[in-house]
Amino acid sequence: MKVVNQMLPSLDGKALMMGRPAYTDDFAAPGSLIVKVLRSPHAFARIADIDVEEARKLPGVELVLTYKDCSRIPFTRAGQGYPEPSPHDKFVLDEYVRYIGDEVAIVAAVDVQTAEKALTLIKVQYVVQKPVLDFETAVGNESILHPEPEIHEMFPIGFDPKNNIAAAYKMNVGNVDAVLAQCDVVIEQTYRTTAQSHVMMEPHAVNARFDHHNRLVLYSTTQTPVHVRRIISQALEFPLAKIRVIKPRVGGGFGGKQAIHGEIIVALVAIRTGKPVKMVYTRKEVFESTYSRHPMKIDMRLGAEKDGTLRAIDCQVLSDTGAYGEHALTVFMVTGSKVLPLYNKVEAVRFGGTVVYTNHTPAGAFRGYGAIQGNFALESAVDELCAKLKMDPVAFRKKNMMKEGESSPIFAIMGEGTEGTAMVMETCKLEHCVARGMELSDWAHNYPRRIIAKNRVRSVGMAIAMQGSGIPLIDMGSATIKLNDDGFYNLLVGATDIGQKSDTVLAQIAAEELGTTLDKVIVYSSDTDLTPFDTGAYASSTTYVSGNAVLKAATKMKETLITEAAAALETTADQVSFDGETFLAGEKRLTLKDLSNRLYYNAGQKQLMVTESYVGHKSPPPFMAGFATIEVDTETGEVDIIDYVSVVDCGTPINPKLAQGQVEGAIVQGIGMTMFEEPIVTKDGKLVTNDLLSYKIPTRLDIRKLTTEFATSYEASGPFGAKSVGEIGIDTPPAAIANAVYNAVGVRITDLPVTPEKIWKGILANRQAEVQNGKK
Amino acid sequence: MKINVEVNGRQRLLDVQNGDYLLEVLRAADCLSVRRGCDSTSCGVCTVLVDGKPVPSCSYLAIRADGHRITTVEGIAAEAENLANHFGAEGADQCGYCNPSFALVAYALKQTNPDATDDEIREWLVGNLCRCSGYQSQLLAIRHYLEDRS
Amino acid sequence: MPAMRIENIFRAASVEEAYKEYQRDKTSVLFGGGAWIKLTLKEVANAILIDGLGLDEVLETPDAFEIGPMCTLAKIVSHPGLGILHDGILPQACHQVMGIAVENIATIGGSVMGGFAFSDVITPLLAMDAKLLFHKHEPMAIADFLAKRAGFRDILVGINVPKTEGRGYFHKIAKTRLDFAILNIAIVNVNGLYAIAVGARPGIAKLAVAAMDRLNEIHPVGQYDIENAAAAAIEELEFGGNNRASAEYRRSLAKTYILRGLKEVTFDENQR
Repeated sequence: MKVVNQMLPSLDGKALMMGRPAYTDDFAAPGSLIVKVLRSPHAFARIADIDVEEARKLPGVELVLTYKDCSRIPFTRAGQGYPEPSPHDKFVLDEYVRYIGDEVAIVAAVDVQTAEKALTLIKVQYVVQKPVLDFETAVGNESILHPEPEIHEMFPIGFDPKNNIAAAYKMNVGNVDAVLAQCDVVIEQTYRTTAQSHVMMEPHAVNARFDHHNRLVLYSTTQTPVHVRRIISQALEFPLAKIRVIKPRVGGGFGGKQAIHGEIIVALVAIRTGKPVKMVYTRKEVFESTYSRHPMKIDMRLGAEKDGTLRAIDCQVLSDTGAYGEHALTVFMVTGSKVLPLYNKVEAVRFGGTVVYTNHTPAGAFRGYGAIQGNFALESAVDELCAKLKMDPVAFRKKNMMKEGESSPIFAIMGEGTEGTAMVMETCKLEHCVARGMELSDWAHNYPRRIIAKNRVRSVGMAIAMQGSGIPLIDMGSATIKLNDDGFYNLLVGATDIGQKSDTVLAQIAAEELGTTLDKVIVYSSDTDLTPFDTGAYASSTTYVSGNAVLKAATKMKETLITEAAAALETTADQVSFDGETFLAGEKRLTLKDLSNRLYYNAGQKQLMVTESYVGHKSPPPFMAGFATIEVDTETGEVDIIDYVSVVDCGTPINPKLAQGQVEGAIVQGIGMTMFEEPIVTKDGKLVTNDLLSYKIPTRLDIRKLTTEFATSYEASGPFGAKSVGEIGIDTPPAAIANAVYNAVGVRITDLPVTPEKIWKGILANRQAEVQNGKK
Repeated sequence: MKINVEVNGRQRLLDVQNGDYLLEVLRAADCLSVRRGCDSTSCGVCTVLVDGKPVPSCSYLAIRADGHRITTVEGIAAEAENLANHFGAEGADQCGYCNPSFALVAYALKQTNPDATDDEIREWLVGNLCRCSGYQSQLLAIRHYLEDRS
Repeated sequence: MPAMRIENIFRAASVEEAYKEYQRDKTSVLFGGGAWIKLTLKEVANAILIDGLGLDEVLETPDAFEIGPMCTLAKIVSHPGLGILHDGILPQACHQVMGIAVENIATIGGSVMGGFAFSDVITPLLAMDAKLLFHKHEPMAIADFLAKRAGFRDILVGINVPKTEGRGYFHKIAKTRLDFAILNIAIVNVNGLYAIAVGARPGIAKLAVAAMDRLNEIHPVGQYDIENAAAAAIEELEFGGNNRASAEYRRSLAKTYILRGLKEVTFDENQR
């Protein structure tokens, strides 16, 4: 292949390095009103009275809105297909505020200083309610977060707000309790993961103006322009046809920009004032008032024979969705659906749980989307089982893990809030991933540990993972290819490039099929007026779903070109061959350049433009094996990461270096969640770690070495054999590192993050236990 | 009040308030490559060069810049292109939001210590956070950029 | 993000002028690099700048380094003489703050006068027996300054660091390379006279004076003696808990690293 699977530089990398204005705030209309939001200081309160008169009178203030000024239409902010599997439990502004940082009032003023001053002039009388801050006390709590009569689910998702339940689900295959009772060895453990903040480098931003058609045009840092448009229309009862949403370059999302942030607020202000408006989130607002990862408590039970055959898995989840239910059901379901099939040959598997409301920053989509939490629990539990079985953890996995050609009953049962889609693993290179990972991490030499010095131990730990490639039968992507004179193409896609370089990857697919070079494919993406539909950048769907649409469109364009060339050459299509530049029919030849000019200006003139769509019928998972090599200081518990080895099966990597970047960026986010990123909340529900001084993401000195390879794999259902690669990298670090720590010093950490203090405490406890045992 | 600064080789008389920082002032002076990332001097995204030295523009009082020489990435376009070629070759570019700040810091490193070891490169850039890339490909790209004496 | 509101900027033409204004207006804020001020204050009524008064030099005499308060941390990191003094622990500490851009604006004067408990810079200065030189007040040992900071209003004009031949050790424990210290330790050994300073306890840096005194009476110092000293130091110093670590973990870290440091400055032949 000439373009696909080549390490080509991205289309926009150079311009972005040169600092060209390309991000949302760069496109705010000059003289835009500034929007600032008054945010709740209480975790849970009712607004008894709100007086905005003084604020309204401040010179320079154009508009002040409270819940009394807004319609009472419930919606969800979740960026998902419609009807959404998330409860419609949000109003533009409400009488209740449900977390510290929740929206109380909206101010629009001529400049930042005036807007901020106006906020201080708003007088609010709150009746403070008792917040629900511990998600284990949410169900049956006397405080009900969502008593509103208007809220509802779109279809049954287990929505039970009177019990503070946003969603619930359960499934089973076989009889787990009966099988566990027969097993030689059973382990039972509870694992806990915390919230995590995305910390994309660009804070959320959005601006709006009315154009020369008097249509509302928004620029937004969004992963889902189409969902934004639909939700604005629904929530504000504004005609869909009069809204245009444009996504420019975005400085990272990782799921944090998948749901609505400021778009409804800005749209509302624009509609009420008729003026251009903008809103840029402060970093504090990004931490407190956008989204975070769902914290979870996962109860795992595994049962096996003493020969290492895994026979049963029981996985029960309690998930904390915070103040509103965006992505509550679907993240929780992925905790099971994109984790448990890894051990597909069990006789019985059971998955279930509840997602509850609490008075915390709402949780939402975040790379991994439940799979990282579930992977931590399952892959830690597997190692705990291996310890009890006295079996090598790699040998156990080789024996029990999913293999190519196999399937799992879970695929058919569990979908995106609905039933799933059965599928066979046409590609699954886990065996290679594990074997190669062992080589690269020198597993045989390092497992379980090597004493490096008096107080220093080196060890390895590993985990396997899977994810998905889009949501089958729901996620649709489409692509339009337009021919220009001079023989180059426009590729119009709805697919949202948020930094993962999908514009480039999709252009590579088009160029490969059309037999041309990347510079002849001009990409324009994510403009709801001009680009065809795409659900957006989530669920690892872009390469597989949008890519397949691009491939279909390119194939169709080629056919159309050949038909036109045949007409121009006065022959039939079956006589014509095309190499991307020239059409040949026997002795006759015609260049693409000449054909396109002819079609524009000279004979049989027509505009060639094709649009094709794609909906997946399955979601072929990428797979990977992750191996963490660490060194532990046995006196202090401090951990150094020596190397993290990733061997990934994502089918054909369309752009190998960019794909490697996806894996490595995700690995580092996963390591961050495992070791460094810990949100701290006071007993009143205030997020203490609400800036980058206190919330620490990994730096380039914390992680010095990553080793990443791709397995040779070709997924026939994917464009040029590709599967997805956007999320898979994030899933393995928590278990791989926890397993490495156990292998190093015999301390099993079940509650993230893995910290030196926890390790140190564990080492001391082990020593004490040894002493006690010695005494016996 | 007005400050007299050289911005990317051009003398400019800029209107500033006492409490303005370089970040806002430079963006208002059409250097849109200078961006805000964090509000707590912790991310490096807003880095510019003052007299050739990297500083966080969010925390550098504009009035103190009077009489000094400021460089944003718009002022080192050829170097930025060169670095971009190396980033492209390593697949080190993703969202690009913090790239202008890397370009300036890498450029300053090339002027100061062009033979920097990998650890020296990491140390020099440690204050420039990146959430997208995982840092490895960037290290390779910057190393090649430093080695590139063309 | 809105700019800070600064009503008035007072550009002092001399240190005396700055001092007078600083005393006259008790609400006035003296700006060093200004990075920490920017993080903590939204409004300043009167900002006093002492830029351009020659306070940003490192002067070297036969007996000491006199570091100007407006020296940036970057200047100290790259100063050859300070890089040799006590194995370069002062530049080491200055280099672990927040990355080179912040190093280029943060000043050592700002770090010292701020008196922050999390400071990585104060700990080695304490161990190196630094003296603070003020415009009006008598020179003060840094430990004395830290003990009686409340209401102290004078202009720091220099930090005097004695040039003594000896070994030095500095170690900062933090979650990531850019985080605040969970604990930091500086140890200096000048011909058998030890100084042990521990900061971010989470309290402000302190010398383990009693442990030091006992150790300094012993010649020569052996493994047993330094183990005792480390144990004594953690008995003497107070450790507390916060979001970063518990008190007991801090104590354990302190003991481990004080011991490692004492070993290094006593037995380790290798200069850095």
